[in-house]
Formats: sequence, structure tokens, C-alpha cells
Amino acid sequence: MFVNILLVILYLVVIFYLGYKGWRETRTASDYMIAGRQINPYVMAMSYGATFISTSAIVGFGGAAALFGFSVIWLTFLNIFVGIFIAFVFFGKRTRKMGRNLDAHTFPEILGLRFESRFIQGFSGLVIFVFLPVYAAAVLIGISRFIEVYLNIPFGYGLLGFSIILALYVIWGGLKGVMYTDALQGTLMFIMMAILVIFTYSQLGGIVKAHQTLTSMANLVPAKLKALGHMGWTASPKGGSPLWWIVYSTIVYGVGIGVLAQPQLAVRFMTVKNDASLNRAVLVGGIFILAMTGIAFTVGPLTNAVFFQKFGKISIAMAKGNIDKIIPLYIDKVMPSWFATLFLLAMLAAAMSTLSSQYHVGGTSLGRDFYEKSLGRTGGGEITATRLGVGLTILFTIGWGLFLPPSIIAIATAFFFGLCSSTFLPMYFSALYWKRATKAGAIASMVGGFIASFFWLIFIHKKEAAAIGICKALTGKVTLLGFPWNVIDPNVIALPVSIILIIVVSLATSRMREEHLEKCFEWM
Amino acid sequence: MLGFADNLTAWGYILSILAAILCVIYGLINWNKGTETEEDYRRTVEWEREEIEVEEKLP
Repeated sequence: MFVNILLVILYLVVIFYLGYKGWRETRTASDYMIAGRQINPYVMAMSYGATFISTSAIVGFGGAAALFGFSVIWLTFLNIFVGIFIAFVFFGKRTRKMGRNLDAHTFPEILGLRFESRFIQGFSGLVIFVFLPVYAAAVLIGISRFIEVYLNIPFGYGLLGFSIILALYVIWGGLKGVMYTDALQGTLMFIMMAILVIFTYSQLGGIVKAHQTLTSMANLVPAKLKALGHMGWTASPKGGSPLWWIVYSTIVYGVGIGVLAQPQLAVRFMTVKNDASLNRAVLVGGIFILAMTGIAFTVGPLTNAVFFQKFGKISIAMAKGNIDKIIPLYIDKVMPSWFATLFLLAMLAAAMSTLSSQYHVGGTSLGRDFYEKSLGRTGGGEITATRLGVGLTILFTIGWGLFLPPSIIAIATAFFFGLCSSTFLPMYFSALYWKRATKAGAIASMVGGFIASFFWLIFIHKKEAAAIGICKALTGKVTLLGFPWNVIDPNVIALPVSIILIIVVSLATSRMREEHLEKCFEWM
Repeated sequence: MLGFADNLTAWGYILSILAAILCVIYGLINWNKGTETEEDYRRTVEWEREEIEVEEKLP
């Protein structure tokens, strides 16, 4: 144990040093840096990948896959096809060019400038600032569960301790040099995941044999899950059952599509030098994501077979009902101890890179988007606001991390992805592709999508509505509508609302100025 | 198929791998397409100036 803690500390020191060194070297002469800064496509893809896929995906969604089964693999397909291919080819290239044309530096800013609306920039900035910590908390919980299981440090202490170290890293310049250390961390993750899947399949006698073993265990599915529609770990849930809606509407569709409108990912496109870098990044990204979520969603369900062979229990029983603990327990109990130590280091790295870019986005959302651009304040206050934004994002993340219940990582991630897609996606897509979209249309879509999403969450979607309790207090009923509505993800309703609003309102209002559109779409 | 209990799940597994292969092929075919032009360079330099200012405001 002592050796493990020592290794972790040593590793953190190296990461700190690299982050700091990278930052100092690139900052010594701005002009040199401008001429010489080249984000290599490998670094770009790894950085995007490491920001996109983190401990939350591997620990939280891997755990969800262990519970729900292989059907979650459809999310991997969307992660690669939508999250990499469509995102880079159809969103990335235009985002990069429009970012240059408008001199935009954040996700809310590109939207605000494209539609000539300070309100859009300010509102988007605030939505991100307020709700990003829920997603960041999912990442923080993921790594803290790992620390809990593997280093035997109680969850709350692990969470606070890690947050303090991370805050130091952020203050020490790690936030700025983030892209460079990400590539190293991504490479480590890749190797560890490859070992994980090879080891797991070989434990079960090969790919097809492993799947067959799991198929034959369908009778072990707990009665409670069977009643919800669980048909075994290698089968899709029963069509139209509550579990079917959770897997396909919340996890697969909500997260799979939501990735397109993620502010911390969209800004990555702007830092790329040219289109060739994006083309090359598609290659690296596709393989990387397959190795991350593909392996997590494959090993997740298979943990049931391995745990059952070794301990006579299925995964959820091993983890005593907390799905967020399944993957950490599997690594701790089944994998060799050298692997577990290295895997913990890789997870620490992944959590650090994702969290620091989330803090970066939280800070600029409050400082640049809301305070400076939307309220129009300058004169030094925006620096304070940005720093305050980072500080508050860290504090809110810790708060959510301690407050949220167990088995929450996948749900909290899906919440933020879903909220982003219904609030931003139609507006973002139109910004890049539809010249006829107007300022009023964009505002209607953004505000309408946001309200629809929240209305559904508070009054219809049973899981959240019951926990929040506003619907019960106002109407006396837990939810306004019954099954199947109360298990359908908010996103399934709110995204179409948002799409319809931007189309209808844009067509009903007059076209934006031609010269502005020319400027936006110049050189595309 | 492949030891899975139903084909829908098996197709999710297969399509994930095919999507990754699509990314590899796309990357290889377009490896050198869209390399930097003078215009790209000029705009990037202008954009980078402001980006540094944004980053300097962070802690």
C-alpha cells in the first residue's frame, strides 16, 4: 500500500513538472510561440479524446454496461461515428474557420458573434458555468471511487484530497499547458485499456466463447432488473420497457448526440492549425475512442462472467449495489497488482486532464462570456471574474461530488450532455450550415430547448422529478404523465422542440445582414 | 452471432469496429488534404494573439 501511494505521488510530481515546464517554455516569447506553435494532429486527437473520454466514461459507463449489458455498445458506435467522424469532419472544420473569421475563443462566443447577440453569449456562458460542475462532479466521483477501492481511502477524503491536488495543479499553470500533457496521458490510457481487454477475453477463453459464457448466464439477472426489461447481458432490453428507454434514450441517444454540442470539445477545434490536422485527428481519434469506450463497454458486461467464475457473484452484487464501484473492484480483485497501480495512474491522469479543461471552460464562461462580453465590462474586472469562475467551478464540483448519491456517474454525465444538445445543438449546427437562421430563431431555440429540457426533468422524468420534488409540491403527483413518458429522456422531447423553434422562428423573421453572413462564411 | 443473444447487440459491436475503420480510412485518404495556406497562417496568427490574452486571464 505504501509503495502504491508513493508511486502515485511520484507520478503526480512528474505530471506537475511536465505541465509547468511545457507552459513556461511555450510562454517565454509570445511571438515565437505564435509562429512556432503547432498542435500536432496526434496531440490534438489525444487531447480531444482525453477530454471527451474520462474516468466518467470508463468507470461510470463501464459500470452501467456491467449492469445493463452489451446493448450499451451502441454508444461506442455513436461515440466514434458522431463524436469523432461527424464532429471533426462536419463541425470541426467549419468551427475552426468561423472561429478565425469572427475571432471567437469560446463556444458561447462563436454562437454569440455568429448571431450578433450578446444575450446568446451571456446565456450560454451562464448555462455552462452553472451546469458544467454536475458533469465535472461525475468525473471527480469516478476517480474518487477508484481511490476508495484501490488505496482504501474513504470516498469523501479521497475526493477532497484529489481536489486540493488538482487545484494546486491548476494554479501552478497546469491549466494552460493542458494539451501537451494530455497526449502522454492518452497514450498511457490506450495501453492500459488494450491490456485490460486482452486479459479479460483470455480469462474467458476467447472472444466468442466469452460472449457465449455471458449469454448462458441470463438466468442470473436479478428479478428486479428482469421486471424492468433486462433480457440478459448479451441481449437488448425488452422493446419499450423502462430499461430499453434508459439504455437507448438516455445513454445511447442522449450522450451519443450530445457530444456534438460540448463546449469543452468545440473549443478544441479552434486551436487546430489547418484542416489536414483535423483529417489526421479523425484517424487517431477513431482508434482511441474504440479503445476507450469500446473496451469499457465490452469489459463491463464481461465482469459478470469473470466475477461469477472467481467469486460466485455477479458484478452488481460484488459492488454491493453501487455500479460506480464495479470497474474499480474488477481492476482491484481480478487484474494483477502492477496493472492496478498503473491503471490508477492512468485514471488519475485522465481525470486531471478532463477536470482541468472543464475548469478552464467554467472560468472563461463566467469571465469572458458572461461578465466581459455579455455585460460589456472590462478594465481588469474580467480577469478577476475568470479566476473567480475557475474557483467557483472547482467548489461547485466538490459540492456536487459530495452531494450526489451512489451509482450516479453515467446519469450525471448524460444529464449534462443532454442539456447541451437540446440547448445548443440546433443553434450550433445552424450557425455553421444554415445562413437563413436568424438571431431570434437562435434565441428561441436556445431558451426553448433549455426550458423544455428542464420542464421534462422537473415534471415528467420520474427519476429526477421524484428526487427534486417540485412537481409533487405543486400538483400532488410525482410526475404529470405516466409510463412510458416518465422514463423517456428529456432530450428526446427537448431536442426536437429546439429544432422546430429555430426553423419556424428563423423563417418568420428577416434574414441576417448579408455582409455579416459573408464575414462569417468567408473562406469556407 | 459472435456469441451474443441477439443480432441487434452483435451489430452494435460490429458497427463500432467498422466506424473506427472508417475513421482510419478517412484519415489516410485525406492525410495531406487541407494543409496550411498563406491565408490559414495569417488568420491563425491573428487568432492566436487574442487566444494568448484569454489564457493569461486564467489562474
